[in-house]
Amino acid sequence: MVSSGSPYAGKSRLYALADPEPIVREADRIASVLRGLMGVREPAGCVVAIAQTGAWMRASLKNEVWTRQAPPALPSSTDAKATATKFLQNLEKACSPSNSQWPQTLADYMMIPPVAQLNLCELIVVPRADGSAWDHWLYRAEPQLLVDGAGTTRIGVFGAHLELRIGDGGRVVDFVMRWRALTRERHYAQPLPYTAATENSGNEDLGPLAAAAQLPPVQGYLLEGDGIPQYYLAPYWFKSDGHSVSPISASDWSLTVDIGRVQQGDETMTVMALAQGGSGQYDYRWAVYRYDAILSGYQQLTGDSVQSVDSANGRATSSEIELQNGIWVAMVNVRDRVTGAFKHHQQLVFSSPFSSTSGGSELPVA
Amino acid sequence: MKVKDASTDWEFECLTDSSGNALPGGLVLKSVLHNGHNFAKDLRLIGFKIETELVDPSGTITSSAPVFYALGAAPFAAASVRNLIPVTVTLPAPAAGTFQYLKEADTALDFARYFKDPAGNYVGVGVAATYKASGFFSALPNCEYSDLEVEQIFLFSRYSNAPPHEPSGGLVAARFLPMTRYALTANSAVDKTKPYTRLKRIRFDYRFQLYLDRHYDVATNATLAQLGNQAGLFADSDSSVGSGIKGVGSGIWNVFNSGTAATAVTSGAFVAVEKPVVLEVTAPGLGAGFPLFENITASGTTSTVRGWDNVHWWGANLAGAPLISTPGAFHCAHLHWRWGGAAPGVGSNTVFNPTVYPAGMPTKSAMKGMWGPVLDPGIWMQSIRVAIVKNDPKLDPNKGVALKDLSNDQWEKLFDPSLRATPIDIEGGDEIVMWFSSEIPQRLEVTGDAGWVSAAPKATYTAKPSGTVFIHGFFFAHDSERSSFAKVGSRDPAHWPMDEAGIRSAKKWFRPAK
Repeated sequence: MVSSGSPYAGKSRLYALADPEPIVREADRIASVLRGLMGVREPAGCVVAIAQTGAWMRASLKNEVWTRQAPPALPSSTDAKATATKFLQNLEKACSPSNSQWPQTLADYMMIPPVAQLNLCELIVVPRADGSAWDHWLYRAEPQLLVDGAGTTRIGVFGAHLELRIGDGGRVVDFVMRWRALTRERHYAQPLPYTAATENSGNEDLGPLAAAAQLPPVQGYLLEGDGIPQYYLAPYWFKSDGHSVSPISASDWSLTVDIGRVQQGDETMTVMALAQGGSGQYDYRWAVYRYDAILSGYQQLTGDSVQSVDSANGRATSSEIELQNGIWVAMVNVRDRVTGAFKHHQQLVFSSPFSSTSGGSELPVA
Repeated sequence: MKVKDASTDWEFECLTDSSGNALPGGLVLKSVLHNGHNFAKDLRLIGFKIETELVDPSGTITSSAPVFYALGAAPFAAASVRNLIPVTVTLPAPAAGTFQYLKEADTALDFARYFKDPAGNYVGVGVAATYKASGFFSALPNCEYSDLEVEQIFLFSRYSNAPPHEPSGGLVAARFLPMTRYALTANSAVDKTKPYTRLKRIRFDYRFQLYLDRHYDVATNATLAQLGNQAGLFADSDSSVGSGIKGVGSGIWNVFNSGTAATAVTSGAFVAVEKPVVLEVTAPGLGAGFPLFENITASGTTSTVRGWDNVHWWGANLAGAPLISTPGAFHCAHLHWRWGGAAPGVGSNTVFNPTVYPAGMPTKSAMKGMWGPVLDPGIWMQSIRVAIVKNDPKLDPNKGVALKDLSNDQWEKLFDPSLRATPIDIEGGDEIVMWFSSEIPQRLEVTGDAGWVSAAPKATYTAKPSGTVFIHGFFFAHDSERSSFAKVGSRDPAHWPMDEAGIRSAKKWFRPAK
């Protein structure tokens, strides 16, 4: 805990993500813990999967979710909630150094998001697809973390999720955890307040969606997801424009990246990556792959052209690269040269059938 | 073949014969789940239709009737089903401290640090099959093509926020990409000084029996209603600018209805929403790559219609209970083939403006690089049509209906009126099926118009001899609609500009966005 008089009081917390590899190495012991909590001794009775990438976890009792022959006898929602809460408390205890059986190599990992800080989103009952029976209760919780240096404000982690299914006899029959373990390392960054977008909002008539565009932004940490290089959790503002929800930087370590097509030729196109939210001084690396040639792997690219451009947040370094016309997933690694902030970004980019030089005049606004 | 991938947690069954070959019809996936959440009961390509025409050097063109083909059957050779296995991504954490490492070293920029094998598939799990037909066009006189190869790649990605599913990057989901790649081989012996056969168009018809779980917020399990799934149609707003492009010479909606060639024009400034879909619907998406186009009805009248940009699909709840959030749709299947004004600031840009700047650049408003049809650029002139129909044994290939009977020459007639003259009510939820069609005309003439500023050069555009359909894929998000992040959207029904009562009273199958 940081006192309000500390130099971190006005800062935003960043959480370092742990290397998942030691977790994967201890998969058998973790599986044993999960089976114990689910009341199963034999491995065949409970399938435990710890993903090689990111160490996301799932434990599922055999022939209980969707495939149980006899309709399950479900508990009341009150009892289901109590079961889920108890399971998570026991799991947190079991996955910590307070458990003498817990691997020493994971002693410094926060394997489970703080259970006392979970935001219970919902407890809902789910029927089978054929409508023949209720199958289970679904308990969903959102991890939350303290964001301010003083340790007074908790915010959700976008992309992280805990789910438990409570089935026959009030047992936990399935557990899913989308979460990257944290180390004890913290960093304190300069928070950035939310400022309304300065971009032209056009003359849109959002109709019944307009109300959503008026809702205030929500602050949250962003966990990018499975298989996405990420070193730390940083806070973002999540704001609706009526169509979609945008993450916007909420600290000077909370980078965003966007890629656009800035030049279109007959054979090639030029795409530009621009990072925002940091110092403005960025280094970039590029690679590409194609969904429809997925077995060809990916290709690192060199020869990008770096330039300083005017951005919505002031001068910033951008990077342009030339691609063959087509449809690609462009990958960009960006690092802020001043702070060290890092962001991996991927984006579908595709060429236009119309060359920049053979037409493409901009239409006047009606 | 049962596939259960521990790394991505996708599971499904892929039907094959005893030799591991695709069945007639190609890949069929059943009982598809991710993380234990139901996604679909049955996913498949029904088949494709090819229409050719005989071109006489004098200029006379004679069209042939469309011919239906199913993959995995003659004239295609047997195709073995291949498994696509994802490779582990390495996510290192520096032992000496993450933040110090990032400050001091730039090795974090190296892709090989995370993706160690450049030849690896880091995206996801899936199945694929390649169907080859030598001499596919040999029965046609003096044809410009000889062989045809079709590859199906059904790919399921990891659950993540990257690449962004929505342009803004605010939706965590896994992708399902039911891609169909085709390649036509040129016939080196064709003699175009004589009457010759050329390809006029090719159309791929899919059937997706999606099924997403229903979630009931009830205190007890006393009631159990079969409510099925609901769907929503959305059209993003574009600029307020008038039209820019007029294309002729391509059949658009009534594509295989001879003599009903339609024209295509670009955007308008509006939003249309039907959330949830009230009655069964045949919904236009794109006309030869364009969101706004002229449609010729069965009675011969012409009207300019705006196509829809996306479909959403979710588990129905009890009457009066909240729907999926808009925007957001955090537990929902999303299908977007086009982004309109979803990226902010398109007010002064054209649909096909080739200069698409990244967000944050004041020189042009942000368009985020994803704006526009998300189509293979080599075959961008696609017409996309969607139907949302109550599952019916007459249209169910699992009930013995032949595949050829599930693909009408005039696509929408399979439902309207062949299935029933009046669409039935599905608003409260039902066992519904999505039918999706993508058609590629081989030539599209863009003529422009004297009163219009053309963003696309006047020209005849020709489809490339190879391309991939359904590159945009689906997104399957299955997070809570009640997390703190879901507070940015509305969970109310929305029907606009035509209201629910208007849709009911009109009782029309064909309902464009506008």
